[in-house]
Amino acid sequence: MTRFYCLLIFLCPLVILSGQTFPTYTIEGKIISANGGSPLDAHLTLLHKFNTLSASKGSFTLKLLGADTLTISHTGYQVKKLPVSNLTQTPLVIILSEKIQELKEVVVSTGYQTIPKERATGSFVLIDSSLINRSVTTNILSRLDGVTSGLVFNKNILASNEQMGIAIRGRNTIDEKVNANPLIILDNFPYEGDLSNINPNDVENITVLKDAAAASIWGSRAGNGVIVITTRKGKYNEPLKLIFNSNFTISNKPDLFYPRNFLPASGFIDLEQFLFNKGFYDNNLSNTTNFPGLTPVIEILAKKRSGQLSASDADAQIAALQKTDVRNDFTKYVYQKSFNQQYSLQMRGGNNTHSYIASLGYDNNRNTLVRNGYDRLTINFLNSFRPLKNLEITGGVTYTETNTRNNNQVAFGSLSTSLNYSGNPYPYAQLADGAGNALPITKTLRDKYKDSLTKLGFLDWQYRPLDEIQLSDNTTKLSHRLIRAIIKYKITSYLDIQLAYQNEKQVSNTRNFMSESTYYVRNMINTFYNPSGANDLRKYPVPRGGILDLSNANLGSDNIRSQFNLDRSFGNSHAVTAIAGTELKEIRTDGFSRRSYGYDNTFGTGFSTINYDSTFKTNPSTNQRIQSTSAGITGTTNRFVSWFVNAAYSYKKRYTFSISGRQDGANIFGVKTEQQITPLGSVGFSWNISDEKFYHTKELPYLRVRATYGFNGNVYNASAYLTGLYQSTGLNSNRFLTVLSPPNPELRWERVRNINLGLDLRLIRSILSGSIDVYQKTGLDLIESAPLAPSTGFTSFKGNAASNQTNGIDLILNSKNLDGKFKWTTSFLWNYQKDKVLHFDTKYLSTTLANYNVGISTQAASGLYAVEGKSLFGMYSYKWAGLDKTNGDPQGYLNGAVSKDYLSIISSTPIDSLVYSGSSRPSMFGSLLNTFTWKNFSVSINITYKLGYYFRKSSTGLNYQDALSNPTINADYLLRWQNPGDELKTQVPSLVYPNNTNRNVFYQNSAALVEKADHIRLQNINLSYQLDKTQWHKLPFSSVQIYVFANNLGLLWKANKAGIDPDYTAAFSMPDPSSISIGCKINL
Amino acid sequence: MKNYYILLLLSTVLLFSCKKWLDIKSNLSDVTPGTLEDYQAMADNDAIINTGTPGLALNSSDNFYVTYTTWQSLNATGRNCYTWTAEVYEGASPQDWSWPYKSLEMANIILEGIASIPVTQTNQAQWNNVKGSALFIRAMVFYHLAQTFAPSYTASTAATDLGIPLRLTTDVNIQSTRASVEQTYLQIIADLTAAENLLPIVAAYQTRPSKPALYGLLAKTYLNMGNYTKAQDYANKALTLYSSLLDYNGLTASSTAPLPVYPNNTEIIYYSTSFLPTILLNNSPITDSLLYQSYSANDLRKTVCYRLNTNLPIFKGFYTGKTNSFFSGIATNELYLIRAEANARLNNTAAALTDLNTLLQKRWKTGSFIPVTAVTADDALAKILTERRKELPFTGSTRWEDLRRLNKEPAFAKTLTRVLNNQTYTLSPNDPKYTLPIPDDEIRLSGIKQNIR
Repeated sequence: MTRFYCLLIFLCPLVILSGQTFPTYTIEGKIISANGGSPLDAHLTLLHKFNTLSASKGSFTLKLLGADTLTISHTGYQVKKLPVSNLTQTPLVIILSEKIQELKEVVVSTGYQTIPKERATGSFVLIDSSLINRSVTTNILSRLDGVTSGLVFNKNILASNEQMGIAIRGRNTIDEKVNANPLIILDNFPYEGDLSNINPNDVENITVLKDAAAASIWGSRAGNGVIVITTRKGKYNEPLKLIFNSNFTISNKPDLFYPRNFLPASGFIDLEQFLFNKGFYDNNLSNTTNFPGLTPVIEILAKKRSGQLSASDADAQIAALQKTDVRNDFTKYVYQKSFNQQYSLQMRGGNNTHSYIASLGYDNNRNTLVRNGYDRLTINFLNSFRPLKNLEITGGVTYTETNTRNNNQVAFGSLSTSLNYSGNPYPYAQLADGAGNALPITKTLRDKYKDSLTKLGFLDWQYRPLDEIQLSDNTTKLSHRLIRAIIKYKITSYLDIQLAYQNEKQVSNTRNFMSESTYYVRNMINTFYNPSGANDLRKYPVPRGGILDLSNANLGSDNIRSQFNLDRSFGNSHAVTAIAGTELKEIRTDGFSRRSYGYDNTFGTGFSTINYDSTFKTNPSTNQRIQSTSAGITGTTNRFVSWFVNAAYSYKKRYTFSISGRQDGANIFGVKTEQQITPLGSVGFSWNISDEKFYHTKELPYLRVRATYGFNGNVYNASAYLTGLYQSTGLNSNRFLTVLSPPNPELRWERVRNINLGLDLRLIRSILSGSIDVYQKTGLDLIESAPLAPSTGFTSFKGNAASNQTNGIDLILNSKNLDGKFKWTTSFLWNYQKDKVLHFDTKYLSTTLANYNVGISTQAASGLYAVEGKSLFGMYSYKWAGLDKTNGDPQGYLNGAVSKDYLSIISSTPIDSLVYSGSSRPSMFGSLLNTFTWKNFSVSINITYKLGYYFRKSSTGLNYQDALSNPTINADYLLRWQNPGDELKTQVPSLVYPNNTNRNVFYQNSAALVEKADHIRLQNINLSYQLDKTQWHKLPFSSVQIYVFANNLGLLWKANKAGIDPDYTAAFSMPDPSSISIGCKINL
Repeated sequence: MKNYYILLLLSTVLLFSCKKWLDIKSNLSDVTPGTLEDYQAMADNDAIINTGTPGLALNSSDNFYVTYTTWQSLNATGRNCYTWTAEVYEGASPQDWSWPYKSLEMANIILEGIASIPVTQTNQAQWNNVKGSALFIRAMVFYHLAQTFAPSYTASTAATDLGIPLRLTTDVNIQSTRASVEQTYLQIIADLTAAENLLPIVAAYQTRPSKPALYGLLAKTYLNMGNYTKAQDYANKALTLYSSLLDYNGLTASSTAPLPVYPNNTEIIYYSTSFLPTILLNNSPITDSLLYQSYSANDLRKTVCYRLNTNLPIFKGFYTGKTNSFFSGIATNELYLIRAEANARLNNTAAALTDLNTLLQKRWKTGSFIPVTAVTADDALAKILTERRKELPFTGSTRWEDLRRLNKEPAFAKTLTRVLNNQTYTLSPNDPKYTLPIPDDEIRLSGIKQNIR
């Protein structure tokens, strides 16, 4: 730690304010325009004196204490700085020259080098700071949503290897063991920590690398695209700049009435009554072994049947419950309006030999779930020194500390009651009484049983969800630090060498203290409680007191890179830029978890004499051991080594050729060294047609074509050998080994072939500018798992045999519709992509393809829905023939004829007779961003769209008993066919008892439930007002911006008529509530 | 320029020093099995090897019944097994088939892996134990699969009856084919015989195979084949090495699961549990009334193994001591009964009765037991078989195995009937439905022949 602090001090910028006193003196002067010499009422500031003044008719008088720097600014003129002292000659004549409007050179970053966009052959997207700062979020990556060409956020159903939900130009990998997320680079190196550690206020810009020429420098990790985040840096010879930014965001409570997987009390009670009358609950009612929990309605019905309750009383009680809706209680007591605060202060500047940046950020978020929240502190220092003419040393530290409070574990859809309706309690549950006091709800065990125990010394066994929120004490503290150092030495004017090092360390500690009052602990103590035990130890095998769970996860990474940079021109015609180097990387993780029983939070004491070995008789009826704490430590070490070279040659700035190559190696466990290493590369070409002598089209002053070809790769994170895993949770205390996968020594890395053709153009006066890229991405040697007969002992086998292809177009158009006092610009993004599977060995059965129950996450293990010639995310269903008029049975087709032989439809419909709707991922998406500026006001409105895809809506189970439990409890129950004629109004079949499994499976997988997902969304609006000191001289800062940002404003149009937002179709998912942010940004 | 050379040197070093650097394992707990310890740890994987013998067939057996209401609330596999319908799974793939093959693959990996480990003086004992264990595990898998998915052993047709796929190598690319019933039983015997001199007399854990466990499995195998001499011989060999019996007088009958839990049931030689038969999972099957009535009042099993729920007997005497956990391993109570039955069939009436009485004495209230007597060997046999049903009503699929083999003897053949909603279902002796179908995914992926029901 001492070393760490030393470094901090070393890196801290030294801003020394002069404390000496000098005699006062006066400076008089005049400010005139360089063009004509007219006097200017410019604005004057002094560095060491915080009051400011303006010239009057061009003249001014200043009183000064000592030497200082005078800054003179005026709208439309270049800012001028002058050193002043008592030796300055007066009157001073200051000549200001007019600002020349010039196009800033756009520079993109690959993480290895920065390249002017005009000279890059590859497909890059640059998101600059104004676009990043347009939105207000805690997380940096979410600011890319809806503004990045070729990049889509899939919000719904994600496979296990694409948790980020970000897809750049589709997906070119299949197996779950291959990472399908884009690679995230922070400045120079891949970022391994939690992405939410990055403070968006520290980010200067983001470059998205889409094709091979852009991304191939990242080799085997670039197959899914690369996102390069570049942080702000200080500049040499820049006066001190202080920027303060703060904002507040309030969002509504989520709409609990949106999810369809909920059956309101009336329908639910109706169903329970039906099943009760059929005797469905009789076994549970008479079960005196386990005393399974039953809902209040079933208890009332049972009492009514046995005569304990009169029919009228029972009916009255049920009628009262019918009016209750637990969603109201959830909204009122479990949710709140969220409130996020963000503060950031940044200081940067530099002199001739030193540049620095220091920033401090603090976020405090109150979640929509009561007692949940998040706060984050970020500290960032970066310094560059030029001690010698040719040497530059850069060093920096970033430190992040976050604190996540996770006390509310009873969110709508995640409150488990073990009553067969897991996910939510029965809809007529009451969480609180009229006065707001927490009420118990039935969970696991019947009240009858619990009541009989109170006399025996059991603890209260009731479950009150609202109390649990208050009792919970569950926080995760994370700290992350990143140290980096770069040494750059200029060997000659055109060649330099640099050595970069980065070390990352992240520590995450979760502490979950459950006091004896929590249900979890009471339940555990009661389960093991033995009233006849001789002493406390025998009575309470799980001791009285709380339970403390601690877990720890550590991450560390080291990167080191040495690199040569060449940038040389020969004469006026030839220019060469090149980099070459080598890189080593190691990522380590380890972690453990432990538990203390009988924990006393005041003294930090716990029981150390827990008997984990014996099996105890537990209440009400089983035998269990006390869950012991895991004794092991998990850990991984991944190492990579790479060599890379990247070169570009330009002739007369007209033609550019680029070439890159990279070879990667990794310690993928079990593979031979030769196969650990894979070479990848790319070539590119661009031609500035508008620079040619023969080009005379004045209306189109800029025209350029680009073409690239090359390969990226994907890392396979599993083994090619037969591997096993040591475990120790068997019947005995010895360790044992589980075999994980059958061997395949032939396994290789995946490759992605990229072809990209691009055209950049700009019309006269930039009325219209933009680019169009046409691409083809082909995944080759993709890992697939071939199913094996169960008698082999394994279910599947991995091999490199699959391939798929995505063809697409990315279009970016920027237009200046109005220019003048009132400005209107439009930025339009349109992305089209169509993917198909070229080769896949497993021939899926139609049952698997159409199965609603096999989510993408499960299917990813075996290969999504890969069918040759179809999309990887194909949506398949059984052809639907409507409802039977006489009884509301669902009808399908068998061999072309209308049929109700569900078993045969399911088992023998050939794949080509299934309805293939298309992909469940958008084939067209993009946004329309309109910005209006008038004087200092600016409004921008972003409309996003996703088109050309499908989703499967959830519906009720068709068996009375399924209709009560996950995942088929659904409001569609209320729309079911009940009487002849209903088939004209509804597509929901009638329900049956006893179960007819196949009838339900057919319906759930039928085309009746497939809907078009196309929609257009008003994503957000930003309104800002900018005020400059040059405009309003009394302003105490040089500029201030006040902004309002409204997000998640809702759908403008959707193709489906079922009222479903296609971005939120999973069970219990609710649309992100609308939010409004207000903030200000001050440049001091 | 000096700096330049240093940096150049550094990057060159980086370039060439990485081959070794990549030779580190990625996951701390991962291993490529290769050592004797690894193979022992594989054989010790009780979470797979000792937990999943097939339990499906018990759904079709006769020791219990369910009400129409309960039957309606079952899943398709449970309903179809109960009514002996030709189609059973309706698309589901029960683990009763796939799970034992997982154990088998582990046994084969061990056998292939251990072949390349040289035997030395110091590792001899462990090497023997590992190899013997793998052979025993393989035999155990084949034995249990054959009881559910292949027809019962009939000497005259065994050579042509379809047995189960006998996979003896680890190569997953080799297609499975069905061996004959004869080959299946011969393989079980061959594996066990090969392991006979490798296994220890006492295993460190009840989950590890031992010599008495091996003899016990051989006794069970020969009993199923109708070879009573060998069944008697091996039961005898097993009991000579281990014969402890549990006195039911020491149990708390009122408890919800009175038998001692692992590893405290001293009758158990080799611990293993079966998959839960779907019906019995529901906690609602009612014990066959004739079976329940056959326990006399002084027979402790009447209260230890059953509870009354609205006057209907419900089974609770799980041999594992855990609710809803069915024992399917090797234990002395069954071995006493095998030796008794074999002796009776071999006309050694006195020896048969001694074994039966030794066992029953431990099951009755102290002082109340009157030893069973029999005039003829046949009389003794009938009594032994009755007691066998009473002692092992829900132990693995023993009852199912007994129905299958005893059906071949007219004296003991039984027609099973079920009544649901006034509809009667029957299963006549030796019906092909006594062999359960092989799950559909296996048929589809390996193309082996389905059982005709």
